[in-house]
Amino acid sequence: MKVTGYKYTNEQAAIDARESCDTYYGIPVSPDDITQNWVEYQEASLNTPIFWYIRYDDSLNVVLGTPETFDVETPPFP
Amino acid sequence: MYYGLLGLAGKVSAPSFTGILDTYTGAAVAYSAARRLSSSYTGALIRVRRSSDNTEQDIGYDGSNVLDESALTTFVGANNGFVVKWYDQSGNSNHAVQSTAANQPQIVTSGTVNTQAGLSAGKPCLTFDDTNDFFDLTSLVTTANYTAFVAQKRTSGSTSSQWISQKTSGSGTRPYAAILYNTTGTFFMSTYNSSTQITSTNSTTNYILLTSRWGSTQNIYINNSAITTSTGTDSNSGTGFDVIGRRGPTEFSGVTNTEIILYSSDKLSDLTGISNNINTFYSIY
Repeated sequence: MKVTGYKYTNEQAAIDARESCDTYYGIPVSPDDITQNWVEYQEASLNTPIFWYIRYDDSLNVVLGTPETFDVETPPFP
Repeated sequence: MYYGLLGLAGKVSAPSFTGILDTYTGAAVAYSAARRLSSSYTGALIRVRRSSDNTEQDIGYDGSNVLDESALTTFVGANNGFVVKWYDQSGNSNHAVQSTAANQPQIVTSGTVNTQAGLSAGKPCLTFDDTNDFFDLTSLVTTANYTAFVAQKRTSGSTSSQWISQKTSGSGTRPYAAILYNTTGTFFMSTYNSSTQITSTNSTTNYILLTSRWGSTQNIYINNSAITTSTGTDSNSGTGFDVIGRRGPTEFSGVTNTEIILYSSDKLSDLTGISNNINTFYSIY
Protein backbone atom coordinates (compact mmCIF):
# COMPACT_ATOMS: atom_id res chain seq x y z
CA MET A 1 0.00 0.00 0.00
CA LYS A 2 1.02 3.61 -0.52
CA VAL A 3 2.33 5.36 2.55
CA THR A 4 3.21 9.02 2.86
CA GLY A 5 6.04 9.71 5.25
CA TYR A 6 9.77 9.63 5.68
CA LYS A 7 11.86 6.69 4.49
CA TYR A 8 15.21 5.55 5.90
CA THR A 9 17.60 2.92 4.64
CA ASN A 10 18.88 2.01 8.11
CA GLU A 11 17.23 1.82 11.50
CA GLN A 12 19.58 4.24 13.21
CA ALA A 13 18.53 6.99 10.82
CA ALA A 14 14.90 6.36 11.79
CA ILE A 15 15.82 6.44 15.48
CA ASP A 16 17.62 9.73 14.99
CA ALA A 17 14.60 11.19 13.21
CA ARG A 18 12.33 10.07 16.05
CA GLU A 19 14.62 11.67 18.59
CA SER A 20 14.60 14.91 16.66
CA CYS A 21 10.83 15.00 16.97
CA ASP A 22 10.98 14.16 20.68
CA THR A 23 13.42 16.98 21.27
CA TYR A 24 11.38 19.48 19.28
CA TYR A 25 8.14 18.69 21.14
CA GLY A 26 9.70 18.13 24.56
CA ILE A 27 8.69 14.47 24.92
CA PRO A 28 8.74 12.97 27.47
CA VAL A 29 7.64 15.78 29.75
CA SER A 30 8.43 13.56 32.72
CA PRO A 31 10.43 10.33 32.77
CA ASP A 32 7.46 8.61 34.41
CA ASP A 33 5.04 9.58 31.65
CA ILE A 34 3.44 6.92 29.49
CA THR A 35 4.20 9.04 26.43
CA GLN A 36 7.83 8.49 25.59
CA ASN A 37 7.95 9.46 21.90
CA TRP A 38 6.23 11.98 19.68
CA VAL A 39 6.22 9.65 16.71
CA GLU A 40 7.21 6.04 16.04
CA TYR A 41 9.04 4.48 13.16
CA GLN A 42 8.13 1.20 11.48
CA GLU A 43 10.10 -1.49 9.73
CA ALA A 44 8.96 -2.41 6.23
CA SER A 45 9.99 -5.98 6.81
CA LEU A 46 8.14 -7.44 3.84
CA ASN A 47 9.83 -5.11 1.38
CA THR A 48 13.04 -5.94 -0.45
CA PRO A 49 15.29 -4.40 0.55
CA ILE A 50 13.95 -3.74 4.04
CA PHE A 51 13.67 -0.11 5.04
CA TRP A 52 12.36 1.93 7.94
CA TYR A 53 9.84 4.73 7.79
CA ILE A 54 7.83 7.26 9.77
CA ARG A 55 4.26 7.93 8.71
CA TYR A 56 3.44 11.51 7.89
CA ASP A 57 1.71 13.72 10.40
CA ASP A 58 1.10 17.46 10.11
CA SER A 59 3.26 18.02 13.14
CA LEU A 60 6.31 16.51 11.45
CA ASN A 61 6.79 18.99 8.61
CA VAL A 62 8.55 21.47 10.83
CA VAL A 63 11.02 18.83 12.03
CA LEU A 64 11.47 16.33 9.22
CA GLY A 65 10.60 18.43 6.18
CA THR A 66 8.59 17.47 3.13
CA PRO A 67 7.39 13.83 3.11
CA GLU A 68 7.46 11.42 0.20
CA THR A 69 5.11 8.62 -0.88
CA PHE A 70 6.32 5.04 -1.16
CA ASP A 71 5.03 1.45 -1.21
CA VAL A 72 4.97 -0.73 1.91
CA GLU A 73 4.20 -4.42 1.51
CA THR A 74 1.50 -5.79 3.84
CA PRO A 75 0.40 -9.29 4.78
CA PRO A 76 -2.47 -10.67 2.68
CA PHE A 77 -5.92 -10.02 4.00
CA PRO A 78 -7.86 -13.12 5.02
CA MET B 1 -20.09 14.21 45.26
CA TYR B 2 -21.48 11.01 46.70
CA TYR B 3 -25.05 11.04 47.96
CA GLY B 4 -24.85 8.19 50.35
CA LEU B 5 -26.97 6.65 53.06
CA LEU B 6 -26.55 7.45 56.73
CA GLY B 7 -25.23 4.31 58.37
CA LEU B 8 -25.79 3.13 61.93
CA ALA B 9 -22.44 4.52 62.98
CA GLY B 10 -23.32 7.89 61.57
CA LYS B 11 -21.01 7.58 58.60
CA VAL B 12 -22.10 8.47 55.11
CA SER B 13 -21.57 5.53 52.82
CA ALA B 14 -21.61 5.43 49.06
CA PRO B 15 -24.68 3.89 47.46
CA SER B 16 -24.29 0.30 46.41
CA PHE B 17 -22.98 -0.20 42.93
CA THR B 18 -23.21 -3.26 40.73
CA GLY B 19 -21.22 -3.17 37.52
CA ILE B 20 -21.59 -5.34 34.47
CA LEU B 21 -18.54 -7.36 35.54
CA ASP B 22 -20.10 -8.08 38.93
CA THR B 23 -22.98 -9.78 37.17
CA TYR B 24 -21.08 -11.31 34.27
CA THR B 25 -17.80 -12.36 35.84
CA GLY B 26 -14.60 -13.71 34.40
CA ALA B 27 -13.63 -11.07 31.85
CA ALA B 28 -10.08 -11.36 30.57
CA VAL B 29 -9.90 -7.64 29.83
CA ALA B 30 -12.47 -4.86 30.10
CA TYR B 31 -12.16 -1.23 29.03
CA SER B 32 -14.65 1.59 29.13
CA ALA B 33 -14.22 5.26 28.36
CA ALA B 34 -17.56 6.07 29.89
CA ARG B 35 -18.29 4.03 33.00
CA ARG B 36 -17.04 1.96 35.86
CA LEU B 37 -17.58 -1.72 35.12
CA SER B 38 -16.99 -3.45 38.45
CA SER B 39 -17.53 -2.68 42.11
CA SER B 40 -14.13 -4.22 42.76
CA TYR B 41 -12.44 -1.70 40.51
CA THR B 42 -11.58 1.59 42.18
CA GLY B 43 -8.91 2.98 39.86
CA ALA B 44 -8.92 5.49 37.04
CA LEU B 45 -10.74 4.79 33.77
CA ILE B 46 -8.24 6.51 31.49
CA ARG B 47 -4.95 8.42 31.58
CA VAL B 48 -4.97 11.49 29.35
CA ARG B 49 -2.30 13.64 27.70
CA ARG B 50 -3.32 17.23 27.02
CA SER B 51 -2.07 18.97 23.91
CA SER B 52 -1.26 22.27 25.59
CA ASP B 53 1.85 21.04 27.38
CA ASN B 54 1.80 17.23 26.93
CA THR B 55 1.42 16.54 30.64
CA GLU B 56 -0.60 13.49 31.68
CA GLN B 57 -3.22 12.83 34.34
CA ASP B 58 -5.43 9.94 35.41
CA ILE B 59 -9.18 10.51 35.08
CA GLY B 60 -11.51 8.40 37.19
CA TYR B 61 -15.23 8.08 37.74
CA ASP B 62 -17.59 10.34 39.63
CA GLY B 63 -20.25 9.59 42.24
CA SER B 64 -22.49 8.15 39.55
CA ASN B 65 -19.78 5.72 38.50
CA VAL B 66 -19.35 7.34 35.11
CA LEU B 67 -16.29 9.09 33.68
CA ASP B 68 -15.55 12.27 35.61
CA GLU B 69 -15.98 14.60 32.65
CA SER B 70 -15.57 17.64 34.84
CA ALA B 71 -12.12 16.51 35.89
CA LEU B 72 -11.32 15.68 32.28
CA THR B 73 -12.28 19.04 30.81
CA THR B 74 -10.72 20.92 33.69
CA PHE B 75 -7.44 19.17 32.99
CA VAL B 76 -7.51 19.51 29.21
CA GLY B 77 -8.99 23.01 29.07
CA ALA B 78 -9.80 24.34 25.61
CA ASN B 79 -7.25 22.04 24.01
CA ASN B 80 -7.20 18.44 22.78
CA GLY B 81 -6.94 15.36 24.99
CA PHE B 82 -5.51 11.99 24.03
CA VAL B 83 -5.76 8.68 25.87
CA VAL B 84 -2.35 7.26 26.71
CA LYS B 85 -3.63 4.46 28.91
CA TRP B 86 -6.99 2.70 28.92
CA TYR B 87 -7.24 0.98 32.24
CA ASP B 88 -8.29 -2.65 32.40
CA GLN B 89 -11.18 -2.93 34.86
CA SER B 90 -11.25 -6.74 34.86
CA GLY B 91 -8.82 -7.01 37.74
CA ASN B 92 -6.11 -8.48 35.52
CA SER B 93 -4.25 -5.15 35.09
CA ASN B 94 -3.85 -5.76 31.39
CA HIS B 95 -4.04 -2.10 30.52
CA ALA B 96 -4.10 -0.83 26.95
CA VAL B 97 -1.23 1.58 26.43
CA GLN B 98 0.04 3.88 23.70
CA SER B 99 3.40 5.50 24.40
CA THR B 100 3.66 7.39 21.09
CA ALA B 101 1.85 10.71 20.99
CA ALA B 102 0.93 10.55 17.31
CA ASN B 103 -0.71 7.15 17.80
CA GLN B 104 -2.94 8.00 20.77
CA PRO B 105 -6.75 7.97 20.29
CA GLN B 106 -8.48 11.25 21.07
CA ILE B 107 -11.15 11.86 23.71
CA VAL B 108 -11.34 15.66 23.89
CA THR B 109 -11.45 18.01 20.90
CA SER B 110 -10.99 21.73 21.53
CA GLY B 111 -12.26 21.38 25.07
CA THR B 112 -15.30 19.22 24.25
CA VAL B 113 -15.50 15.56 25.22
CA ASN B 114 -15.85 13.34 22.14
CA THR B 115 -19.20 11.62 21.62
CA GLN B 116 -20.71 9.66 18.77
CA ALA B 117 -24.32 10.29 17.82
CA GLY B 118 -26.31 7.09 18.03
CA LEU B 119 -23.56 5.18 19.71
CA SER B 120 -22.95 6.57 23.12
CA ALA B 121 -26.04 8.65 23.85
CA GLY B 122 -23.85 11.61 24.58
CA LYS B 123 -21.42 9.58 26.62
CA PRO B 124 -17.66 9.80 26.08
CA CYS B 125 -15.96 7.73 23.44
CA LEU B 126 -12.49 7.38 22.01
CA THR B 127 -11.84 8.43 18.44
CA PHE B 128 -9.36 6.24 16.57
CA ASP B 129 -8.18 7.62 13.27
CA ASP B 130 -7.40 5.16 10.52
CA THR B 131 -3.90 6.53 10.12
CA ASN B 132 -1.94 5.40 13.15
CA ASP B 133 -4.06 5.16 16.32
CA PHE B 134 -3.96 1.94 18.33
CA PHE B 135 -3.25 0.44 21.75
CA ASP B 136 -0.89 -2.30 22.80
CA LEU B 137 -2.08 -4.49 25.64
CA THR B 138 0.32 -4.83 28.54
CA SER B 139 0.42 -8.58 28.03
CA LEU B 140 -0.93 -11.15 25.62
CA VAL B 141 -4.40 -12.50 26.40
CA THR B 142 -3.56 -16.10 25.69
CA THR B 143 -6.69 -17.84 24.57
CA ALA B 144 -7.99 -20.07 21.83
CA ASN B 145 -11.61 -19.18 22.53
CA TYR B 146 -13.21 -15.88 23.22
CA THR B 147 -16.35 -13.82 23.38
CA ALA B 148 -15.89 -10.13 22.63
CA PHE B 149 -18.42 -7.40 23.30
CA VAL B 150 -17.65 -4.14 21.56
CA ALA B 151 -19.63 -0.91 21.46
CA GLN B 152 -18.42 1.18 18.56
CA LYS B 153 -18.99 2.58 15.13
CA ARG B 154 -16.66 2.38 12.18
CA THR B 155 -16.28 5.90 10.89
CA SER B 156 -13.77 5.54 8.08
CA GLY B 157 -11.85 2.85 6.32
CA SER B 158 -9.07 3.69 3.95
CA THR B 159 -7.49 0.33 4.65
CA SER B 160 -8.51 -3.11 5.80
CA SER B 161 -7.87 -3.61 9.47
CA GLN B 162 -8.37 -5.69 12.55
CA TRP B 163 -9.87 -4.31 15.69
CA ILE B 164 -8.90 -6.74 18.44
CA SER B 165 -6.01 -8.82 17.28
CA GLN B 166 -2.53 -10.16 17.79
CA LYS B 167 0.45 -8.26 16.47
CA THR B 168 2.34 -9.85 13.67
CA SER B 169 6.08 -9.92 13.67
CA GLY B 170 6.08 -8.58 10.17
CA SER B 171 6.59 -12.03 8.72
CA GLY B 172 3.17 -12.07 7.15
CA THR B 173 1.67 -14.64 9.49
CA ARG B 174 -1.97 -14.21 10.28
CA PRO B 175 -2.91 -13.42 13.82
CA TYR B 176 -6.11 -13.95 15.66
CA ALA B 177 -8.70 -11.31 15.00
CA ALA B 178 -11.94 -10.82 16.87
CA ILE B 179 -13.07 -8.28 14.32
CA LEU B 180 -11.75 -7.46 10.90
CA TYR B 181 -12.76 -4.75 8.49
CA ASN B 182 -12.19 -4.49 4.81
CA THR B 183 -12.14 -1.38 2.70
CA THR B 184 -15.66 -1.83 1.37
CA GLY B 185 -17.25 -1.61 4.77
CA THR B 186 -17.71 -5.29 5.44
CA PHE B 187 -16.73 -6.40 8.85
CA PHE B 188 -16.21 -9.95 9.80
CA MET B 189 -14.40 -12.33 12.00
CA SER B 190 -12.32 -15.02 10.47
CA THR B 191 -10.11 -17.98 10.86
CA TYR B 192 -7.12 -18.39 8.65
CA ASN B 193 -9.23 -20.36 6.21
CA SER B 194 -11.23 -18.19 3.90
CA SER B 195 -13.77 -20.99 3.67
CA THR B 196 -14.77 -20.40 7.26
CA GLN B 197 -14.94 -16.65 7.15
CA ILE B 198 -18.23 -15.19 8.18
CA THR B 199 -19.22 -11.73 7.22
CA SER B 200 -21.69 -8.98 7.75
CA THR B 201 -22.13 -5.88 5.68
CA ASN B 202 -23.36 -3.08 7.88
CA SER B 203 -20.35 -1.87 9.74
CA THR B 204 -20.31 1.58 8.22
CA THR B 205 -23.99 2.38 8.41
CA ASN B 206 -25.09 1.03 11.76
CA TYR B 207 -23.93 1.57 15.26
CA ILE B 208 -23.03 -1.90 16.33
CA LEU B 209 -22.80 -4.01 19.38
CA LEU B 210 -20.97 -7.16 18.53
CA THR B 211 -20.14 -10.41 20.16
CA SER B 212 -18.01 -13.08 18.60
CA ARG B 213 -16.72 -16.46 19.57
CA TRP B 214 -13.69 -18.38 18.50
CA GLY B 215 -13.42 -22.13 18.25
CA SER B 216 -14.92 -24.62 15.89
CA THR B 217 -18.02 -22.47 15.83
CA GLN B 218 -17.93 -18.75 15.13
CA ASN B 219 -20.77 -16.30 15.59
CA ILE B 220 -21.51 -12.69 14.89
CA TYR B 221 -24.32 -10.89 16.66
CA ILE B 222 -25.23 -7.29 16.10
CA ASN B 223 -27.38 -5.54 18.64
CA ASN B 224 -28.31 -8.88 20.18
CA SER B 225 -29.45 -10.34 16.88
CA ALA B 226 -27.68 -13.28 15.26
CA ILE B 227 -26.10 -12.36 11.96
CA THR B 228 -24.25 -15.43 10.91
CA THR B 229 -22.49 -18.50 12.19
CA SER B 230 -19.89 -20.85 10.81
CA THR B 231 -18.15 -24.06 11.77
CA GLY B 232 -14.66 -24.86 10.64
CA THR B 233 -11.19 -25.91 11.60
CA ASP B 234 -8.96 -23.14 12.82
CA SER B 235 -5.53 -23.10 11.26
CA ASN B 236 -4.76 -19.64 12.51
CA SER B 237 -1.22 -19.12 13.72
CA GLY B 238 -2.12 -16.74 16.53
CA THR B 239 -2.18 -17.48 20.22
CA GLY B 240 -4.34 -14.68 21.58
CA PHE B 241 -4.81 -10.92 21.63
CA ASP B 242 -2.43 -8.10 22.37
CA VAL B 243 -3.42 -5.13 20.22
CA ILE B 244 -6.48 -2.96 19.67
CA GLY B 245 -7.01 -1.00 16.48
CA ARG B 246 -4.43 -2.15 14.00
CA ARG B 247 -3.46 -4.88 11.57
CA GLY B 248 0.20 -5.04 10.82
CA PRO B 249 2.31 -1.91 10.51
CA THR B 250 0.20 0.01 8.02
CA GLU B 251 -3.48 -0.71 8.57
CA PHE B 252 -5.52 0.95 11.27
CA SER B 253 -9.15 1.18 12.28
CA GLY B 254 -11.10 4.39 11.92
CA VAL B 255 -13.70 3.94 14.65
CA THR B 256 -15.27 5.55 17.64
CA ASN B 257 -15.31 3.17 20.56
CA THR B 258 -16.53 3.43 24.06
CA GLU B 259 -16.33 -0.07 25.52
CA ILE B 260 -14.61 -3.43 25.02
CA ILE B 261 -15.18 -6.50 27.17
CA LEU B 262 -13.36 -9.67 26.20
CA TYR B 263 -13.91 -13.06 27.78
CA SER B 264 -11.57 -15.96 27.10
CA SER B 265 -14.55 -18.26 27.29
CA ASP B 266 -17.90 -18.91 25.69
CA LYS B 267 -20.35 -16.33 26.98
CA LEU B 268 -23.08 -16.83 24.43
CA SER B 269 -25.40 -17.98 27.18
CA ASP B 270 -25.10 -14.49 28.64
CA LEU B 271 -25.40 -12.74 25.30
CA THR B 272 -28.77 -11.15 25.95
CA GLY B 273 -27.94 -10.08 29.48
CA ILE B 274 -24.63 -8.50 28.57
CA SER B 275 -26.03 -6.88 25.44
CA ASN B 276 -28.96 -5.44 27.38
CA ASN B 277 -26.65 -4.09 30.07
CA ILE B 278 -24.50 -2.31 27.52
CA ASN B 279 -27.53 -1.07 25.58
CA THR B 280 -29.27 0.21 28.69
CA PHE B 281 -26.29 2.44 29.34
CA TYR B 282 -25.50 3.54 25.78
CA SER B 283 -28.91 3.34 24.05
CA ILE B 284 -27.43 1.86 20.90
CA TYR B 285 -30.52 0.05 19.62
